[in-house]
Amino acid sequence: MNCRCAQNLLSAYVDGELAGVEMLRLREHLGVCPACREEVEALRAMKRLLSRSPQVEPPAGFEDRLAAIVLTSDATRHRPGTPIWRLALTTSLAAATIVFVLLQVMRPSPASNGARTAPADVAFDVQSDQSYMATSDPFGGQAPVMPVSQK
Amino acid sequence: MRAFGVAAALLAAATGWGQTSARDLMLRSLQKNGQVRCVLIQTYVVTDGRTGPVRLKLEMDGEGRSRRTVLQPIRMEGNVWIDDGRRWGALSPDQKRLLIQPSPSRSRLDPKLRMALIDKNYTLSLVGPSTIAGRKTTTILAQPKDEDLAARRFFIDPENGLILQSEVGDLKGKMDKTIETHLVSFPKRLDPSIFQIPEGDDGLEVVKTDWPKRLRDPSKATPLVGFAPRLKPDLPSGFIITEVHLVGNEDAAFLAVRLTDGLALVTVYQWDTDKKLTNLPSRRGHGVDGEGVCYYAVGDVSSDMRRRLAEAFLRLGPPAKARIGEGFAFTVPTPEPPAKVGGRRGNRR
Repeated sequence: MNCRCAQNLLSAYVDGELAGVEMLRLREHLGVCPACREEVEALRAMKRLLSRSPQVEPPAGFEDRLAAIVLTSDATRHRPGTPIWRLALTTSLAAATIVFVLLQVMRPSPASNGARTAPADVAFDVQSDQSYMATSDPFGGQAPVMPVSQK
Repeated sequence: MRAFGVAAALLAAATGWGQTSARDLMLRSLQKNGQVRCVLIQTYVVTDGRTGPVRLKLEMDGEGRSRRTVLQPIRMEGNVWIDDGRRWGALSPDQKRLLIQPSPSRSRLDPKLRMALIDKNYTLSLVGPSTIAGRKTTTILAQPKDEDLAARRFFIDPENGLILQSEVGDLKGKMDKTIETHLVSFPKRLDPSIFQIPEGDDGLEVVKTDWPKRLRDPSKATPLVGFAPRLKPDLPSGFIITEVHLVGNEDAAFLAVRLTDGLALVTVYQWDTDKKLTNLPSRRGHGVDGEGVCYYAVGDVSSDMRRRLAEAFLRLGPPAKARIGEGFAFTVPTPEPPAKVGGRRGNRR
């Protein structure tokens, strides 16, 4: 199994939805691939955050306003069979989830915010320089990768 | 049908038609770099042993501006690189940090020079049509004249010169994808605001620097890097030095010597081991120490080739170290004026 296949299965793996040969192959890959292991940890951390999130009540009249918008939108006209209440509920839940995830993801961690203050961090500077140079090459032998300071 | 294909290949080889066409397409692709308005979803395979594949959304306005947004993996999601043609911004939402540097398009190699190097070091041939992300492509095989270099294959959209897939050969001759395109679109217009670097956003730590700096006379870097750069190595496999940059910052500067054989790009970083530099790179590239200077090669070539390129500098012998106090007389050369992009950029912002 390569990283590309593994990336598609990681979410299911974290949710315990993989079984049999697929899970064994993924576990084997995780045993040798630090990048995918790191990705599994990031997914687990996000799921933990989501599970701890408090229930948020929408403001009064939110559902009515949303339903009114949905009723007048083109998307609804094309799908006359979809019950409005279901569409409204699904949309509001999805919106709430996206907003929550964005807030969590964009919140700076105390360890990383403005961390790079020391001047002599060669690994950081090399990685930063490689990302910088990669974007000017049409043959694209290298992808830009955001460096992370060790400081 | 097969006999016809063989006959066509023989005819192409005999007349040189395949060679000329492949060369023309390659040159066109180099010349059109950044001049096509398009949106691409691409996967890049990063070979640093820890990053894995990175999926990006690449938006280009055809006038030299571009925006790259990471879609996957999740731990890098939302990282954005914007090149507005004059400056380059790297935004990390997780670190709430924005780094602004001069646009790297200033360091882009002249397409004709690059093509001349490709001619010298590779044999190009057309190996047939293909379809990538719904677009018909022409495939160019670049076979190295030196067996220590890797073969490369490029899937190019002949209508606009876009490279939609890139592959590199491993030691067993198997081709591995380095770029894969999943979606391509050619919008009539892209919102110009997506190419604006968000330096005014609240809560962002903005770091502005005019580094890396191109050195016209590398000997002037001696006081800053701590040693006299020696830059006439006997480089293997047709590599040449294209530019020398100062990287890091005033307090901890080191050299970045850019090399290419036409297709592969390699940087040999060089730093004074007597300086108290920290967090030295360990996983990527190849480093060799030589009497007070470390030579560290990074690039899209094999680890053996990186070692050989680093050692080519080592063989020049120990460089002279800078004298104490020299640093005070150092002045960094003025950067080149910004490249002209699109003709209207100056009035946009």
